[in-house]
Amino acid sequence: MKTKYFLPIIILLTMFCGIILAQGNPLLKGVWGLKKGDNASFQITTDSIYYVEEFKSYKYNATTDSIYINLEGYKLNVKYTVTNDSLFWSRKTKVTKFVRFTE
Amino acid sequence: MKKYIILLLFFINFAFVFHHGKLEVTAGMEMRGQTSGDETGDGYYDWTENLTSIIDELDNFDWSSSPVHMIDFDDDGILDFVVTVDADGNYHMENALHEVVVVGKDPNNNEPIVIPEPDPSPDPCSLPGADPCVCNGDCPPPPEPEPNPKIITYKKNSISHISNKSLQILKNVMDCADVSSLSITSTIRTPHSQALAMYDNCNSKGVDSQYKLYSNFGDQVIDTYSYYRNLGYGKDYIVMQMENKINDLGSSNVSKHCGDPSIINVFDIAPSSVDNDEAFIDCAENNSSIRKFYSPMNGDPAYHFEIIQ
Repeated sequence: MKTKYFLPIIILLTMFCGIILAQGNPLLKGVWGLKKGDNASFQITTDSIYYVEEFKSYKYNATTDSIYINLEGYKLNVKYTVTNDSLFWSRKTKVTKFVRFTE
Repeated sequence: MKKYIILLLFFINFAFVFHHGKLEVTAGMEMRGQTSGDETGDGYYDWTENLTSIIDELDNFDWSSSPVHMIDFDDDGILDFVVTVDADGNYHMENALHEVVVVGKDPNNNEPIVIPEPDPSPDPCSLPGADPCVCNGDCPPPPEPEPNPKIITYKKNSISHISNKSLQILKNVMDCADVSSLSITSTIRTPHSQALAMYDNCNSKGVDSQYKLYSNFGDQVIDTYSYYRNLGYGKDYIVMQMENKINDLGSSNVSKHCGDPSIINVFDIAPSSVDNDEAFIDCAENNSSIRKFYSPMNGDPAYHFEIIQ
């Protein structure tokens, strides 16, 4: 009996973890920009990042502290920290702060 | 043996004169014309010593009786020269090879002289303004090849919206970052293109989702969409009204991709086309000629340049 349910449970757990990993921190989702009052830079949804000014979406992967975006052959890999109203991207010495736009 | 040597010399001299196509006149005033005889042993008769008597003979000729005088100087029955006289009183002596020598008298001392004919094709280097590089080898050094040639590729129709000033600034950034090539993927967007894209998004995603993304200027364009959509107008009319609104607001206020190319150049570069991306970003961010620069690090999927013209 235990053996019978063991494999499906493992599979379901793996899929669940995969989804969590792909989404990263749930706070990532939302509309972000460099400065309120300007156009937003991008909107992060469950599986893609939509760049507002370019009218383009790109798939991304996120862990709890990193985001990977494939920008048509250019792989952007940044560390991030996110709060309710701020998102910080960093790579080496560069840090960019985005502010959350009102949903 | 001596006879063969003389014959050999004859052919050498004949070839020399024929090759040059004119009578040989040296600095020593030697004048030689081909004759039937070989009085000087070299195949030519040396007229130099007889120049005085030749000119005397020509001076005494009655030119009114004939414009041409034929001379058989050595009286061998074969004409040596056909002579004409020009308006200056100089004699033009033509031999059987149609080689011409002009003779006359020096006005200073009345001595016979050979007058060099003007070169029909003067040496270009003797003319004023001759190229010193061609004539003297005094050439400026060839331009140094650009140490790192820059290769910039363009998406179709994008080049016309990028000025030389912008290209030079871009090359400076490339130099700074030691980037040899890149690809420009888009340039300035027209208000119509902006209106069309915003229309499509409003139509497919709903206006509520779009209001979240734009500034107050963009929101007014969305308002225009909603207004005419609710009145039941079709796509073309609504897009036209949105375009008018964008123009009214100032297209660069609605999108950083819009603007007048004569005032501002806007273009995007594919990050995947740039090798040394970190240096490229640093150099672009520190270039004071660039009004705004965005990269994937600060929210743009491309390297976005805005350069005031």
